[in-house]
Amino acid sequence: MVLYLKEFKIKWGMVIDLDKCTGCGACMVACQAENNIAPVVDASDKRRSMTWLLVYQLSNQKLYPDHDVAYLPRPCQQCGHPNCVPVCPVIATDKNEEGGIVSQVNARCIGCRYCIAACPYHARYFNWHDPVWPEGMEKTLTPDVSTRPRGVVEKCLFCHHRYMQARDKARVEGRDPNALAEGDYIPACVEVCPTGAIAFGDLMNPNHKVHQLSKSPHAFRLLERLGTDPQVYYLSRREWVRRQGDNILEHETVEGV
Amino acid sequence: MALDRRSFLTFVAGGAVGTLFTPVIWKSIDDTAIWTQNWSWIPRLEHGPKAYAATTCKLCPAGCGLNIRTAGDRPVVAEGRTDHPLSQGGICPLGAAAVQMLYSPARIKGPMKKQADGTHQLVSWEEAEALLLEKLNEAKGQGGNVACISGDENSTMNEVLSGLLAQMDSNRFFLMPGESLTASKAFGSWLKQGVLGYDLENADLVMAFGADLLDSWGTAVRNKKAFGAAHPIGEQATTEYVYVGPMQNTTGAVADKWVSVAPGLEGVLALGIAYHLLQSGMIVPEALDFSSYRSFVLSRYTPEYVSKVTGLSSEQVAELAVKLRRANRPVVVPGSAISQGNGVFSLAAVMSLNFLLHPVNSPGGIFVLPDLPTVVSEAMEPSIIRGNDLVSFVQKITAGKTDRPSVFLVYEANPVHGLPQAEAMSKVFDDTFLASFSTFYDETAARADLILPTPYFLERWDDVQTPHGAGFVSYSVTRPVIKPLFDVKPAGDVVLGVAEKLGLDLGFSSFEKVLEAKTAALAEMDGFLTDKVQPWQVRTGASPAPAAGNQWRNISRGAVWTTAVTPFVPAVLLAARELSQAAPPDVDDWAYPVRLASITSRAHGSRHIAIPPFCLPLLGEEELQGKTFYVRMNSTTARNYGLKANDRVKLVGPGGECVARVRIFEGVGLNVVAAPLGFGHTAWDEFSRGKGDNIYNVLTVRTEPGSDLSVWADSRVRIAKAY
Repeated sequence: MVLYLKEFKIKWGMVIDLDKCTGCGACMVACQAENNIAPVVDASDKRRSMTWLLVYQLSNQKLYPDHDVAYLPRPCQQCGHPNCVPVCPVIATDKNEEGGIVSQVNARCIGCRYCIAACPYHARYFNWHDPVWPEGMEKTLTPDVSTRPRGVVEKCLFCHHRYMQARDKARVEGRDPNALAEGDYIPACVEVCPTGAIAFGDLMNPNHKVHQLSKSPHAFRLLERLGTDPQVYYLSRREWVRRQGDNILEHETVEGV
Repeated sequence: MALDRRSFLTFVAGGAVGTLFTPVIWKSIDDTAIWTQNWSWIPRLEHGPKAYAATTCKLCPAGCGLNIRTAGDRPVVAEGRTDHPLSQGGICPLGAAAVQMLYSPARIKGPMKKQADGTHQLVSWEEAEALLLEKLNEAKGQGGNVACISGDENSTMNEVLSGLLAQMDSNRFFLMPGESLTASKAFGSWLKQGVLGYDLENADLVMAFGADLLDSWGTAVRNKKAFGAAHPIGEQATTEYVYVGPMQNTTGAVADKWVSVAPGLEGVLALGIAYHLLQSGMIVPEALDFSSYRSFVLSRYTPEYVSKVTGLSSEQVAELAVKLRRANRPVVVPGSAISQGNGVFSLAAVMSLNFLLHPVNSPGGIFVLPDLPTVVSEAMEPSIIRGNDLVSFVQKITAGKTDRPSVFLVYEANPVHGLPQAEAMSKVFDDTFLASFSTFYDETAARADLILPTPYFLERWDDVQTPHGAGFVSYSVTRPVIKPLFDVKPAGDVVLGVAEKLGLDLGFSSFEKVLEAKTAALAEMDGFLTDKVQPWQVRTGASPAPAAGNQWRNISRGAVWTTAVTPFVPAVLLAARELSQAAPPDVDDWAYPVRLASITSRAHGSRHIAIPPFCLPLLGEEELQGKTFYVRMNSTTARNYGLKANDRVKLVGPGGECVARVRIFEGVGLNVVAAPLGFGHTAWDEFSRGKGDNIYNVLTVRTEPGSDLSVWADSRVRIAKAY
């Protein structure tokens, strides 16, 4: 439980351009491969499928031919004031490390699922079953992310192992691991995106592109008014898309009440 | 020393406090947490040094460069190669799942022979090859008694197979039907040495007609990279993308503008736009049939007529013409959303806009991309292969108009599942000997008399020549990154070995040697490697260093070869005669009143690959639910047919029917039902088998007048509530 709010000098964050996202799903596949998520035979049973990163389809709710559609990839929002952290009875999830990534320690998790109930973004998943890989497919597990048994909660960690590797690399090369350059550390989803819809970097560092992008007039965050202060920003020039980022009432504008 | 009450309590309290100072408790709690999660059936991670192997993807025709990350000797993750001009670091969902497909439960473990009871039993390679030899020996010298279907448009494997057929006096070599067939029928008369490519990277306006440019059409990842580069994050777009097509698919969703046109009517709209361009005085000086094209368009495709047929207002059509005229380097991309089955009318009509807008081979427009030299003796020329119409051939056989081959060789293709009117078409394999060269147990393999499993593309040598829809010539090699997991053998080696035993000389002893020769033959052309300069940069002035050094050594390790040389095109034909003959009739078809907009998405696999396990979570709740899949229509269409969201609906075509559920999606045109291809597998594995229905069954093949081409991109269906 955090009894105080820690301030970070580095805040890793994403800015996702929804006008560029085609909803192809390459990021979701890359995420599963990178993080050793087991495939499920019936993935339409959403209690079984694990989607640390999930692409939602948004609609402007207008009839043909005025209809418009957008896709919204939702990783863990890495909230500045995470709802999941204070409810965890065993400190399996915490926001404590420089970089501002909300952690998830599988071995500590007791499976109470309070954090799932608390998370307003549905970014957390519970292993109701043991993961099963088809025969032989376990040989494709990466050495970087431990497999999780049933009974624990898991979520997106911004490919935290890549952060550790980038820091190690910086140390070996004699650079400051706390001053990583843009591109030294990027999660798998950002790396594979074929249209380059996701920018990633340190929100606090003015040399990183995300720093400026997050201040764009077209930028918004999901359910910002809950005060969770997410580190994931979205961009869209379309007002109807920005309106769907929060429960905006009819008489309100997205720029503020 | 007696233990009194006081000292007992002191001892207990002291002990309790004392334990807090030992790590035993904390350690054992920690251990309990760890050990209660450490079950033997949860796989443990294996560590090993991290490395990358560069190769080229064979899961779809787009030919992306893949970087396979390995841990120890195990491939673990597929990433897009930043040094490959067709991927530029990007990847599609199918490519991202490439490594895990190595261990797909559908992998064929060894050569198999069909038994009397219809099951397949493993046999030895000697026995399998002897059987193939016996069947080919019987068919040898009897003209077209052996036929071959290849599902890989870009591999030199086609030379080996067509060379074998040629030496057996058969010219029945076919590719699975794609758009290069349509292009060959439309422009084959003057475009013999290559194909047309689209220079998206240098364009300032990209207008795609039908082609699902940003999902599955052509060089899909390269298209997306070009789109991404033209839409820098957080800034104004530098190139406008317009999608003219039946629905807000992937391309329609992010394009700067979506113009809704029913499948099959893209050509009508294009000629409606051409009307305006011609009116403004645009000409095609190098076109020999320009005057007949001009008079045909101006007399028939008047704004009123086009507006009536397409349902768009005349202003909308005129606006598109203005967009094209105002752009400096506009490129128009013709195609169908499923990359197959479109007619000459649609292709030639849309392509004529390119000819009107700028001469061939101008930056940001269309380019003639030369074919690469062939190396296998008597192999069919690529231009001949592109013109062979498999669907017409199959129809002629089933109608008894031509004799049925006694042997069918099917290479990396799944015609039993993936031909239009699949059920009827697959009857062509009745009473023939069907040999399947496949990595996976697909429907064709399940039907085959003999299965000769090929290694997965991560286990073999192969190559990719300029894919359909590319903007530049390219050649890169697929190379093994892991030893074959099962008892499989490269199809090239099998065919070369059998040819030798048949007394035929294809000139090579192994497929690897064929690729080496192919690489050497590239030296005939003035090429370069794409390590520093990209092919599209050459068109705007960059000058590359010519390829030097050991070509095979470079290319087999991942280098990509390209050339900027384009054949001189003295004159073009706009296919005016074909356009006038193949123009779609104005009458409506009341028996099948709803237009079918088929969808093909890389999230659903590809022509020869069923949906991979890792792509299943990509399907939303209204795409697949248990075993039932969804078709999409807008609420007006649904209401007209008495349908509501989630209703079961039956799609009936002349050749078959499908059952699905209704998803109301307003991004589909009026009286159009959108349905995904790639479902309804009956073989494969539990991840794909029995999910959804096969839309190929309801596609309708018609013969286009004038071109005699089989066409099915504009299929129609009847829909009704199913109970």
